[in-house]
Amino acid sequence: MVALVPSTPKEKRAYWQSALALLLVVPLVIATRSYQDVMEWRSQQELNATVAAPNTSAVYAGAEWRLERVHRLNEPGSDATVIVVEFEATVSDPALFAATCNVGLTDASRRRWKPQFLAPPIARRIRPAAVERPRCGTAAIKPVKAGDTIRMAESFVTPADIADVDLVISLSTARPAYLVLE
Amino acid sequence: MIRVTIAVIGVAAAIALLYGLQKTQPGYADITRPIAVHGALGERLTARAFELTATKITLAERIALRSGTREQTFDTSGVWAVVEAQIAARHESINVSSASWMGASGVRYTMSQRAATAPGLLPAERLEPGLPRKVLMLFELPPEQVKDATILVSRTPFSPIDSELHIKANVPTPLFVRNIVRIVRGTNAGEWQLEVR
Repeated sequence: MVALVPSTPKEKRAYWQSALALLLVVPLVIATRSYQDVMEWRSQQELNATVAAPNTSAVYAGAEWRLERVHRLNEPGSDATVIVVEFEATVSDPALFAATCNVGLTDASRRRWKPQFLAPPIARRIRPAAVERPRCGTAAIKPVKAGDTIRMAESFVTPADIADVDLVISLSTARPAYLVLE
Repeated sequence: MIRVTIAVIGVAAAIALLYGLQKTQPGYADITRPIAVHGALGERLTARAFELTATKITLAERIALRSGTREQTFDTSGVWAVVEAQIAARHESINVSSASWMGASGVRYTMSQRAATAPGLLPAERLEPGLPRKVLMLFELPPEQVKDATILVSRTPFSPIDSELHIKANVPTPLFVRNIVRIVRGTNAGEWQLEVR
């Protein structure tokens, strides 16, 4: 049988060099093959936060965002409370602003409440002006000019005992960066 | 001679091992199968995105939906199974849309589409974290599939590598089938209750 085991020093060195090269080559192959998918996954995640302290504004995705008002509407006898959040964005780059918008409400427990598709009846009764405003997704689709201030509102249904809430916004053009309005 | 024998045995063993691995390779559906969480009625089961406790199973010959003075009745040649449950979202707002009744023979029945306008049905309830809700699941079944069944609940119908609750539905025999279960809409939005006769 042919000796497949390296015997001469030269063969031995070549053998170990090849084995070491594998350690380099295999991760490289994995990285090259999955690079595209990883980048796509990253663009769906919310990883880098831009935080605006209360009563301040922050720049995100070509606009300056600020939280205007947070209304809590309690219905007696219900374990839920409706929170209506009004916020505005002054657009400086309309191209970045025209994107799908993900909005959520979070609290200290890091749970996330997604916005209601239609404002609940109590919100329409008590805060009709806020409910009239467009939601973030619809506002971002309409064509805007640089310098426009877009006023938006979203409503959420949360437990009545919820404490401080933050609004989390991310636009598809700016992810993985996201915005937190406290 | 000895070295050749050892080499041949080694190669044969490798071939046998590889053949075994190839023959027992699980299919794609098995690899991405939802992860089962087993439990019984009355137990709080934790899936990845929600928690559910199936509280009661009521069997009936017909279902009625009452809203104000209007009433709609649904007959069946089999039997209706009305499953009541408490459910809560864990981390974020979700809709749990998939529940099926798996009979003893392995046949699965998805939730009935007939009384789709009933209040409180599981797929229609948007669940918010911190707000547990009472929900209903309606199944229309042949009587022989009621015994020794399992209720499968998952967030979506096709949930690869996500959790799926397997709840043992211990319906006592002989089957106690009621005449009618009425789902009565309350005065406020989202309120409802069951009347069992």
